[in-house]
Amino acid sequence: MSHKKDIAKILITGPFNAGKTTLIKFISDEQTSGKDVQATDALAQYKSMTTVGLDFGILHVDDELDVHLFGTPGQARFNFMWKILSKGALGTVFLVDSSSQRAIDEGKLMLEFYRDLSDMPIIIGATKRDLPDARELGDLACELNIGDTVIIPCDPREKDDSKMLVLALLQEIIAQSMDFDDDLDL
Amino acid sequence: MVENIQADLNFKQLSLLRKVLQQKSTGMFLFDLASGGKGTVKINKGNIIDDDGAVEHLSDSLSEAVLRCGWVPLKVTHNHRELDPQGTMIRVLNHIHWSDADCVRLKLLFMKLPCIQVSMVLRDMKGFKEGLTYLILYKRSINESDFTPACFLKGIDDHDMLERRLKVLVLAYCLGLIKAKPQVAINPNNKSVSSIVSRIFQRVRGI
Repeated sequence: MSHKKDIAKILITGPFNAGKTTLIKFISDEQTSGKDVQATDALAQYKSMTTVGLDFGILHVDDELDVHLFGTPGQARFNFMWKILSKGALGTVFLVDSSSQRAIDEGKLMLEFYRDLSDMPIIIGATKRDLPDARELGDLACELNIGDTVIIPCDPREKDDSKMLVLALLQEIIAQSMDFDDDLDL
Repeated sequence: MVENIQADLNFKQLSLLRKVLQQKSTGMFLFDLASGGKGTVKINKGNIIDDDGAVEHLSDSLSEAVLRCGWVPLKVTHNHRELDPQGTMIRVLNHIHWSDADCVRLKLLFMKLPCIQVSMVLRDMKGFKEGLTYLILYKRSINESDFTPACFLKGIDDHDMLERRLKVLVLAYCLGLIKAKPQVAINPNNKSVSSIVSRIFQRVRGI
């Protein structure tokens, strides 16, 4: 007998060409990309969205829980979708190409948009650190005006880095729901 | 090396600094060094007051074990420039070198700590010479369940490498960037969220 699974939602967002699709590929058991969507029974409900460049992945956690990973389109003209997709999300992994001034400028605006939208936890992954124009992490943090948001250098092409970003986000979510006693006396 | 450690010397100043910085206290931090020196650092609401020799005194206070240290709450009346504790600690730790005996003292202290959660809110990573080592600490803390400082220090015998790891731990400890991993959710509503997230956490770790 089949039973309904719980679904948790995580957003993977950020300006265009930051590595969102790659990250979703590593973290998902099933994945479809907005660029070349093949509708299947399991994914047909999302078919109408595929034309606007949505990436989508499913991670099967256990018999009772799946995680849906939504890679939002990075272009500002799709900001109505950012709003829709962020509803009910546990948190957001925000990727930004640290070598592109355009991406950083767009990232700053996107970040403001998400902050205004809700207080869900956000983790920022600074990608393309190997390129010559890549900003230092501190400079990038200033340019994006991240405040106390966590920023981590990463390469989504590396599976471990993709995992780390999602784990970092989950850690932030857990931290917000837990009580810390300062019992670390040396 | 371990047998040469004097029992009356310790690094209790780290606990005190952590406390006053975390609680954003105002007052004066005093210390007597093992080598006979002494000093004070004034702190206003968790920021370091930049009066004569404040950074040097902070550096002295971290550079070796102390005989004793203390805290005197006081009102700050003068308008001194205040230094951000994170940037100041990074500046100080960039230039500190510990003796073998002090490295062992620090290692033994940190090895006692329980499972920790590490925060990545380190704004001045660029200025911190051990930024990459900090990143290793952070990555390991989220990748390994039951991660303790002992895991981070275990098997590190080379002095330079041990010193680098200890600097990272001292920085994270004093600034409150490491916390004991919590076991209990604050309220029942959050309990279900943390249960779901914990399951996802384990699953992602296993990918």
